[in-house]
Amino acid sequence: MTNSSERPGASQLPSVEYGLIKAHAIAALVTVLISATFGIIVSLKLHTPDFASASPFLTWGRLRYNHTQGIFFGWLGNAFLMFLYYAVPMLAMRPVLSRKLGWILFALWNFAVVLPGWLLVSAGFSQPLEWGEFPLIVDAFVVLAFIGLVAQFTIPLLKSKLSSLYVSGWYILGGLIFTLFAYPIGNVMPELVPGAQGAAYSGLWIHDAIGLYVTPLALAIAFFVVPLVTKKPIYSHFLSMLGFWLLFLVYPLNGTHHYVFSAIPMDAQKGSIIASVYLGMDVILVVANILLSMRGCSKLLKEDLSLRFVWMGTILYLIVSLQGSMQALMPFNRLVHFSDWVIGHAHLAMLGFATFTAVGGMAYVWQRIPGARFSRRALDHAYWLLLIGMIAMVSLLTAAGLSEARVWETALPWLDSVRAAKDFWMYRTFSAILIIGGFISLYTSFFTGTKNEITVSPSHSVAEDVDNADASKVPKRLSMAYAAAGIGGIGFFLLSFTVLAVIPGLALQKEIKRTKPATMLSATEQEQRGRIVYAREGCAYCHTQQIRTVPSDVSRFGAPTRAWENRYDYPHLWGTRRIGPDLSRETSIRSDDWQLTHLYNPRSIVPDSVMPSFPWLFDGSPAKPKAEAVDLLAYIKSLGKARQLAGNDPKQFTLAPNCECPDEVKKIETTPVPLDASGATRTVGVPPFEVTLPTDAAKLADLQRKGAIVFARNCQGCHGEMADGQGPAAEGLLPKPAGLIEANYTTKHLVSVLMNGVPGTSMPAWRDLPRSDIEALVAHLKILPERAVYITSAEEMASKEVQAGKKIYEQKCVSCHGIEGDGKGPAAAGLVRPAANFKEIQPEPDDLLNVLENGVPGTSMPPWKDQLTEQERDYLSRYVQAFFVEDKKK
Amino acid sequence: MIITLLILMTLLIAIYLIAWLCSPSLRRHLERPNHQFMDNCEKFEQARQKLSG
Repeated sequence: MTNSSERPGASQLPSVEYGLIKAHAIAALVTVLISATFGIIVSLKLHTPDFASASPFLTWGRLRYNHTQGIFFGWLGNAFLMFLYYAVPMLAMRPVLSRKLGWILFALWNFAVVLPGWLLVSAGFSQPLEWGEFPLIVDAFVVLAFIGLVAQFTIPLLKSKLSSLYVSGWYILGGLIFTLFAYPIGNVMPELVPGAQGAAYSGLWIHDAIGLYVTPLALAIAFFVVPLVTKKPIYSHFLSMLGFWLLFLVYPLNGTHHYVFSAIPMDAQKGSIIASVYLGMDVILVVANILLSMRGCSKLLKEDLSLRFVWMGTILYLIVSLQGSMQALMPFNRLVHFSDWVIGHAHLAMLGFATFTAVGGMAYVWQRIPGARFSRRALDHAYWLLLIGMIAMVSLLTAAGLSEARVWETALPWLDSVRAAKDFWMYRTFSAILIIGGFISLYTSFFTGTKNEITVSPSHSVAEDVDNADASKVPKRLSMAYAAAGIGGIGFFLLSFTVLAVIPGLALQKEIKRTKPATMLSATEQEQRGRIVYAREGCAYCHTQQIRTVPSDVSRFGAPTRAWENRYDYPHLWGTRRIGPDLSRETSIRSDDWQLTHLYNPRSIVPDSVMPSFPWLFDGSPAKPKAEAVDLLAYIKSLGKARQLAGNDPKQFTLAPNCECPDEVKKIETTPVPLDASGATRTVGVPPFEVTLPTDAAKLADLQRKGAIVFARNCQGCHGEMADGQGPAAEGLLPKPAGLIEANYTTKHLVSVLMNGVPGTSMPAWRDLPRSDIEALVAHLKILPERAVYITSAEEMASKEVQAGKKIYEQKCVSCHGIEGDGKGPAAAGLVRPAANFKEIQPEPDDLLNVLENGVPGTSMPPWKDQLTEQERDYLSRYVQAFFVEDKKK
Repeated sequence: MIITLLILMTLLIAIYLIAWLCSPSLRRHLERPNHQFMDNCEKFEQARQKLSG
């Protein structure tokens, strides 16, 4: 790279660093293939969750982190840098600051950020913050790289006269400088300020990542490529600058729209919603300007693929921005937030707008690299594969999101939303194959086809060295115009920082002081260790920890999350998506055994679950958790504990006294609601309804068939396919699941157990099942294989065996099971698991004898083999069976 | 306060845009970029063609 330059006879033309352009292009193409592969595995795991599930390195959460960070830094970062090395010398008429610095930055970007970031996340070192998943050590290198990039590209631009700086130069300046500010704030502040306050900063970065980094650099490409290909100036210089300044004013103000209906002060939420609408208007202005610049160029769109990519990117920019404005609005946000709709939106932004524009810029530059090969045909294939794949993926995710949102608005079980989305996820994987094909074609287009005829590498010359030496001097003073523009830009950034983070943070501090309980224990060391496991495995990317002030959240999960509940969370784990349910009130919903079995193999206990399994946290069995699993369990059990201990005092509503909240929010905040509304929480009480099974045989048979399906979907993980209590989850549960074929049950008992669960066991309540499902389940359980019974007549009841059993019962069993056998003995109140009510349960003889001999492990029922002879146990079992008062069958 | 500011700014921009649309003289004034972007790029293109030629 030491030969002549691209400016024969024109010493004022600066050099272009083609070596760096090639290197960044190759890095972009390699990293996008790797990142897209991460993405396709993530997609595959959503509908085939057991695929590659044994290795922690390939678990869903870690791959999801690496997918988005790889696209952000590896793909788009390198693609943008490739473009900048070509465009900045033309925009500034000066070379970039230093070639040496360029190679250092290349190494830093790819071998100190992307590669170690991936490896560290795979090894379990990460940060659970959206678009900030690489760990803090990598963040340090990102900031270092951005300092270098600012120097490399902005110094040449700043040396130009303000009036001679084209709009692409403005976008490059803005994008690089403000990302340098925004990145550390978004990545470090949530580690320094807790919970809701940290979420406010986090929201800033979530949007700044797109608004201050991706969008400006993509628009720089669009404004660069369009006039050069069409050979016409842009439609309006004035509109281009107006669009630029509006973008930098309103984009950073969007951040809090990721936390609408949350505990963040309503004023900040409303401000971000207004800014989101404003942004939509700005984007219309920007896009109109770009598209008007292309008027009359339809033929060129067919011929020039770089222009076609940019054109499509611009259209997608309009669509995704208007979609973003719409979904920030409260009535829409209430429905689709947390659903796959938002994932579709993110793909439309990153895979649609950003990728298409970036490819347009790359293709334009690549065709001008001396000696580079280029296949137009392969790029054309890439265009169509990427376009069809992207449209299919976004459409499927949008449809999945709407399906999820529809279920969330009802009282149907959470799992129904997963079932509703599963097919869409499967087809989404197929669309991802098209996208990977598109990227492979893109790669092919850059390394096959005809060779660029420029034979002399125009990289460096003596004259350029003079230019470089000149450029290496940092301007001693900026012109007044630059200073004014700089102050304006920094002012906009500080405005967003102040309005969306500092002021809400101060308001939250007051709010927390006003509403927090007198004492709130901080997390134990074990809980903190568990929190680290929770964060590293990406649990927050499927389970939120914020119940919003919307009816569907409150009726499904319980009272809205207060700001003080997360005041020890560094960083916050509020989450921005729900595939699984919210965990804010998880503390007492499930048993320890259930949680551990679920972590070990979720599908063993919830057959339709798509949660990843975490076998590396166990020693080969759910009954043998390693220390990390126990820590994680402690953390999960701590979620909502402080709120539970504080009680559900209606005075603790979070509305600031002068809050101008929407009526629906005020209504929820001022109406007492249950702290925990989970349909699975075990309780004691009379079930809310009775079930009467149809007498008509055909109707009953229909109901029983439906019940068998409901049983298979919800119950057989524990109770087994044959309802014998030997399901795959039984291994880790104590007490063991009931063998439903080993006893007769009254209808009332079955309804009670289904609606209340069984305290002291892993049997949850199933209150979120529709009543029709409960009725069907009861009908199904009634026809399980007929059980053997002893007592068939009054004569047998009076037999000496039964009477002998009665005597033993009165001596040994009454204290718990009661004189009437109804489980209401004097000692019953102290039992965690209620004593069996033999009026409603009639165990079969073998089961009874087994229980009498060995007791029921995990409960207060002791073994009686040392205290009662075999004959006495036989008598006792006969008597116990006699209590049963309903559904006696021969 | 922020909302008021945004509304005022919207009005200001709207006035500018209407004036830009309606007044050719103002439009000429606003559309007076001094940047040499197209010319500069043309020079690069010419240089490239010379090289390839």
